Amino acid sequence: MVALLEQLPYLVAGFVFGCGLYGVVTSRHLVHLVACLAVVQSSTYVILVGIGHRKGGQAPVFLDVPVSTPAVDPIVQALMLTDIVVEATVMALLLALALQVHTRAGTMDPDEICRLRG
Amino acid sequence: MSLRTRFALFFFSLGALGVLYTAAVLDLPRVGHGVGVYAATLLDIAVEETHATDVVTAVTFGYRAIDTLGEELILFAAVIGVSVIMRRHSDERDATERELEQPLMVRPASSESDAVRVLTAALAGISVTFGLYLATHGQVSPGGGFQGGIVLASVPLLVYLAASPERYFRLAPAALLERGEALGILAYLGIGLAGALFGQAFFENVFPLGPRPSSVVSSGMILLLSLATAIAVATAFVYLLTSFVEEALRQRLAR
Repeated sequence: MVALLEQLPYLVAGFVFGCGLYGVVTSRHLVHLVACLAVVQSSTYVILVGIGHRKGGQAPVFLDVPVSTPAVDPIVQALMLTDIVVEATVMALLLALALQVHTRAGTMDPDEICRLRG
Repeated sequence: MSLRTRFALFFFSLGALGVLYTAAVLDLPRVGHGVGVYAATLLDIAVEETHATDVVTAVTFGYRAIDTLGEELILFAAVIGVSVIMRRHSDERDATERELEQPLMVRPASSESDAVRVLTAALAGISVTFGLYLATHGQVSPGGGFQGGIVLASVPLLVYLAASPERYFRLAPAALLERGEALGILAYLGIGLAGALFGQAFFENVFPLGPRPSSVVSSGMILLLSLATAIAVATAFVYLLTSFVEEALRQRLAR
């Protein structure tokens, strides 16, 4: 149990992932579905920050502290930036698709769209 | 599939995933103790080698600059994708364009709330300053081209909320956005190619590093790439916003 608590960031990431997935499964509106997908993806941010964390480390910015100060992993933080950009582009594309669905099918409910198409 | 079956399937799968995930997490290195060799090396040498005091920016625009090129191309692809998806059929487009050319007086302001209008108008100037600060100081303190570009991209949206759609389109005309996006990506590629032209590797720094790490005009390629990225990101996101704003206007006119 103690070992599990030490891994809290990973567990939080799993929890956020589960919450987002629950939203995706139960969604009744396409925009809500896209937002839930954003929640799923934000679990990866928690994972990345957790991987890069170092006990007692500060942010990897050495403007006013000596270079030898212990700092957290800068590479995963750069990767997180990529992650955020990808999420933003995915959101934009999915929202555009949702708008098109609304124009063509006249509904935003995923279940109803399935019924329409059979 | 009925809702009940779906829930059963979902919770069964989630439970299975939870068990496997917990088992996997217990096998991972303890949080806060496993710092990679690559990270340790970078923290030792990055400031001296690139003259950037923000190592995250040094990684983004220095050591992994070629990955960031890929990231910019993802953004570019998304812009193309959204404009293709939102494209209207020619007859639809003619109708909306005629409607969009209605005289100014007919159309209402974007927001009917005075509080929203005052607050967004006040925020616009601050956002411009903050966005430029982030884009130009990424090598010194937290920030960089992506962050600065996003903050700058929010300015036209604030103008849209504070004033009217006309002001929005005057501030950010589509022609400017298209050229800005192309310019940003070409500048990024050009800075990368400069390395190759001077006999170094693609995306190797050939620009002067500046006097000392903590000054704003330092870190050579990193500052330039950050600026090019800010232009590309800001124009790309405003272009995406424009697609949605146009759609919102169409819906409002149709009513």
